[in-house]
Amino acid sequence: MYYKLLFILLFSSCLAYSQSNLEIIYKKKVLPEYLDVDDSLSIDKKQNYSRIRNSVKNHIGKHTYSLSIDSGSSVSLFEVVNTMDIDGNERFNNSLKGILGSRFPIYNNLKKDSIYENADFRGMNYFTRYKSPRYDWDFKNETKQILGFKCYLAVAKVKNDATLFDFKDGKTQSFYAWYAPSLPSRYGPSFFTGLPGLVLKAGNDKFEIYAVKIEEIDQVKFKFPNKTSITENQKLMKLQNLIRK
Amino acid sequence: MKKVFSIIALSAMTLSLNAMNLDQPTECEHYAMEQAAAEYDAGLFDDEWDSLDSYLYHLDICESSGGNAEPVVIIGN
Repeated sequence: MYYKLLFILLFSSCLAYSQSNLEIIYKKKVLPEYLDVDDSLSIDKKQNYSRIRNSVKNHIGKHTYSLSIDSGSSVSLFEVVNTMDIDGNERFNNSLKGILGSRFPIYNNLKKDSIYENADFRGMNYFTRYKSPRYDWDFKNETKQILGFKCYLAVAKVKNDATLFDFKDGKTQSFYAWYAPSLPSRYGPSFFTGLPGLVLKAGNDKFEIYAVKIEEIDQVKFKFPNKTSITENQKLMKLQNLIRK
Repeated sequence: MKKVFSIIALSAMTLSLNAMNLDQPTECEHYAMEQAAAEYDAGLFDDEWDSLDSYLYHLDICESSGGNAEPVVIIGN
């Protein structure tokens, strides 16, 4: 009888979350490996790299991000919400926001199995559609508690094949995500989506984005943009034209 | 007739030279790519948009200084 009651309670709380609109607040931090500078570099380069990385470490937490989930339309919006910009250093601020792909708003439309990045760059809009999930997740058995929710680990490896820059060509990036099956599935920050539970923590070997607050909200403050999207390849071609003017 | 041929030859030469210019990165493009790669290696960003930002920023500096851009100190507070 006790277990039946417990099951009903757990099931109804999961159901409640899956049907309500949510707002999740995230922050970012650097991981210890980011501060490791290669010993084979020259002293000057090592000092410069250390200075930059410590600067990123000191400032990365100044930006806050929100993920708003509209359960009715099955769409979410992930965006920068609060910034304490470093005065007069727009490029540095953008770099901080861009780490883990969170500089521009990202819509996740479950009905279309797609993620849309709404980038405004140098006077042009690039509303780009990606398939969701963007990464091929490999599911692990490890679990941990995040904000009181039991989360499971998923990992992915992504090779940079289609990139604008030679210095990124062929490099492989490893990502991880901790998702909570008791919270609405397939949503997450940035491009960390498509998992069987809400992603509360994710990152690569150098940076991490993590949830600091989850709350139910009456109404979301966004609408999915009514405009034509471009594919990843079309975006790449447009950006290549920017490089070769 | 000779005149027509020489005009065609000249036009062809001009076209091929233009095509070469389009294919060959300029010194400023080289410089901007090196700077963007250096900032990426330093760990200043990991995002494609910021790589592009960095490249275009350094390209602008180089082109506006007539191709004589000084090595830029990588940003960061």
